[in-house]
Amino acid sequence: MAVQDALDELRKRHSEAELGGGEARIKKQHDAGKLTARERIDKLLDPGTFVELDKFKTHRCTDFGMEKKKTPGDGVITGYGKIDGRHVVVFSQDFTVLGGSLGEAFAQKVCKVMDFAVKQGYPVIGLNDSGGARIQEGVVSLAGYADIFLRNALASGVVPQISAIMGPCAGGAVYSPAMTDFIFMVEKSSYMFITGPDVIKTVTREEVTMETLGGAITHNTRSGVADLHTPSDEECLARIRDLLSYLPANNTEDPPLVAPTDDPERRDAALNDVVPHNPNKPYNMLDIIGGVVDDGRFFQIQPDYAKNILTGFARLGGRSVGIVANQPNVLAGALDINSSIKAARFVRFCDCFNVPIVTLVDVPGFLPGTAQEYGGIIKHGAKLLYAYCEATVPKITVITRKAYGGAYDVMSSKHIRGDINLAYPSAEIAVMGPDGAVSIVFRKELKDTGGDPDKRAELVADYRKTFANPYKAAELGYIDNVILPEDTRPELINALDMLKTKRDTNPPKKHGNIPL
Amino acid sequence: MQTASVTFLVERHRTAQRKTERRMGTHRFKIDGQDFEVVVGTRMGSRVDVSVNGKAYAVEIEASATPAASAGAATQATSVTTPVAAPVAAPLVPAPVAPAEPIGGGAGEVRAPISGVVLSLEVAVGDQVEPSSKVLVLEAMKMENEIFAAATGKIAMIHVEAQQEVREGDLLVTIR
Repeated sequence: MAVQDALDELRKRHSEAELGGGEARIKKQHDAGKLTARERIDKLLDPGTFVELDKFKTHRCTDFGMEKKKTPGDGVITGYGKIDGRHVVVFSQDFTVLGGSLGEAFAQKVCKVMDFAVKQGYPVIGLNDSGGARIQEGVVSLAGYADIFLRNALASGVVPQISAIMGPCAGGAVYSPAMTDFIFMVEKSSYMFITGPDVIKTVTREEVTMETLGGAITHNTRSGVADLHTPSDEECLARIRDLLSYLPANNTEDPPLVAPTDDPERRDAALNDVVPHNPNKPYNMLDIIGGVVDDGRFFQIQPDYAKNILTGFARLGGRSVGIVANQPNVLAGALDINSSIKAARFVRFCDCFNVPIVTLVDVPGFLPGTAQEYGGIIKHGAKLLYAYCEATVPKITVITRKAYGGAYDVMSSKHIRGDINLAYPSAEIAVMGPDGAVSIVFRKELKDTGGDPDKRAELVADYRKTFANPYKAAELGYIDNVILPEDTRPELINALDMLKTKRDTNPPKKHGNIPL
Repeated sequence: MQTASVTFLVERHRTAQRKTERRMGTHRFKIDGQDFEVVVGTRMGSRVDVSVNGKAYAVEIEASATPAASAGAATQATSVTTPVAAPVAAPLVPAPVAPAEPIGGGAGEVRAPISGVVLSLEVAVGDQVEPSSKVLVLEAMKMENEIFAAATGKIAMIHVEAQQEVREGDLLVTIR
């Protein structure tokens, strides 16, 4: 019966490993509204596709009586599987085993699958739920973290890396998600910070709760560290699947093409009325985006941060695109520090992974004020400009209304290698708005009339007629065409189709020096 | 009496010397060579009456977990923004946090996200509002920026009027 014994032994070890930290801790996890590490993988991946690696790997620490506390798997579940039939690599930290703390074996497991991901060209999905470094293993834990960080950095731009924060993620552990492409957080059960409330209280005397300091809402609205927040583990995992559907598996592939379910020739006459005739009245840019993209579906990244700019993924004619758009009903659509950084990172991600960029422009300029200037708007605005200049993916721009000053240049203008630049008849492309311009250009004339308001109004109206329109730019070829808003969708789809074979390069260099 | 939020942290200031007379609730500070005498009254909930060099203030403490004991509420730093250089002349107001993320204000406070001019008020005191209710229109960057309540409740106080210039972070409307 030796063979049967061996088989039974294997089954026993599998069951033991699958219990993780045991039934009691699993129950505690559920009571906290959280799924277990294994349940998360089951929900994330296509059913039955998960292949686990290193299920029986354990630590070899003998300090502090650790040799008696060995759990197979060492607190993380790693392996590969499929999402929508495409391979991905996943690691899921198990909070029920030693608090999900990271030790040598844990780190080695994660590094192993990350190495696979880079060689095979598969996206990496990390489900974080960990108390941090395993103190008993000492500096070995820190080395383990560093091994992971190095791989995050080396994999950056090679394969998409997505992090879900589904529990604690504190101290050094946050640096791994911080270097990944997207961070999704689950509300109320997750938090990220470098130093926690207790340490902060001792050092700076500030009192703050974990939720306020580093919860999902804080990082999605205040710090801009996270990209999305969801009310539950399940929703978080569903959104990850959704996001991946827009992306290629790695940087050598194009994004997946899906059979379009929306007529590429659809012209919506309602779009002609979205931009108000009065240039002072705001409108919601989402109304334009929703009327143009396939099925009105727009996967927003950082929807609650820097709301004066919109970033996210959509499809046009079945092709994935990254959309960047000023939002005129927040801060007048002006560019500021936070929106510049938000959009710059998004543009660079799209450029990493061959996702064409569609930019919708309605920007009156950069936000004035000492807070912006002292905060470094010069440097942070330059990030967005640099990102657009550097990007070699197809770039299509539609100016819906204002495009003034430096912001005109920054928002994917023709001069920084915009491939197709279009404008609505309502577009105003100029150095500055009529009021400001008249004050400067006609300073002497206005002074001579003694500040006559009628003369001023006449000059402003003149300027508006001559310059606040798309035709000056069109005459110069800075705009390829002026289009009716209702034609936006077919125009974009045609342009994308033509640009699908675009190849462009930058001068050879180790890497540029984007202002950071 | 002006109502304000205390955000200064005396301990951190390099030239502050503190001589505390705990029995009387009177504290004497020297900040950058200038003398301040602060008398801290009895704390009621999150409010305490404080006088600085004879000028009276009603002070609201932000989110302090334990009630102030003998040390006095004024020296308990609960949130650090910037050190207050001279609290004498003006009411203590929290410095706006830079870089400028549009400041929504605490629950029930609608603050200006951008500097501009109040074009029109869309609500009156006593109106019931919800997060999507438009409370006023602010002209800034040559645009009519619609400002929303972002809270549910009744308009308790309107702090501005039409044509008034406001700065980013200024309190516009209070909702309770």
